[in-house]
Amino acid sequence: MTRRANVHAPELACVPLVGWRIVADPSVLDHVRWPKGSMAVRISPDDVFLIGAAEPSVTADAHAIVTPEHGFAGIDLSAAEVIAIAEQHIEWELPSQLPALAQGQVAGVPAKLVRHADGSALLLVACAASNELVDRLNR
Amino acid sequence: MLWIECPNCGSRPFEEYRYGSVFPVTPEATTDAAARNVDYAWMQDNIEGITLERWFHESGCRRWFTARRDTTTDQFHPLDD
Repeated sequence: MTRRANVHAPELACVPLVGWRIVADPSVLDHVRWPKGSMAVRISPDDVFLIGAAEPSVTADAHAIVTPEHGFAGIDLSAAEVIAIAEQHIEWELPSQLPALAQGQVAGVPAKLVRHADGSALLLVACAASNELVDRLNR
Repeated sequence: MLWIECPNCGSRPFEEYRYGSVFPVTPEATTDAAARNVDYAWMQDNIEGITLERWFHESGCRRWFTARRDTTTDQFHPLDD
């Protein structure tokens, strides 16, 4: 009988994120200075998800919408994990210039990949889909 | 595999998108508001060739955008082509 050793592969963990969603004029968002230590994810020209900051004020746009955002969960990935996930689960090409935000399906689940300058990344996914994404990535 | 260029996210497979509709073009000769509404909603042209369409990048930036697509070849063309 062949004996097999139990090997524990490191499993990816997804944690709910609390931040702010800011919808404002794109030209205003281009010039906003976000608080130090925060991370601003520019989802689209007029839409930002801000993590790690107190409620921001966007005074330059009187019609800006700033609202708490609890809808995302995040997975911290090392540069090696990003490459491994990209090879197995991402059809599209990762941005070559870093830092960068890439959005699209990861393992068939809509997600956002916030890549840092060192190649590591924060993988953002809607909370409702986070268990499904983690299951697929850990398979 | 059909790839579609999203103005915010770049080139992505078509499964990430939701098709909106063609831009309905109501004839100028139809001036009555109700008749124009009927034409807009119901009189689709089903064009063979290049159409102007709305697409939604559901799995990415979740924004609508306009694209030109050749219905005979499924090729997408830049808007300013």
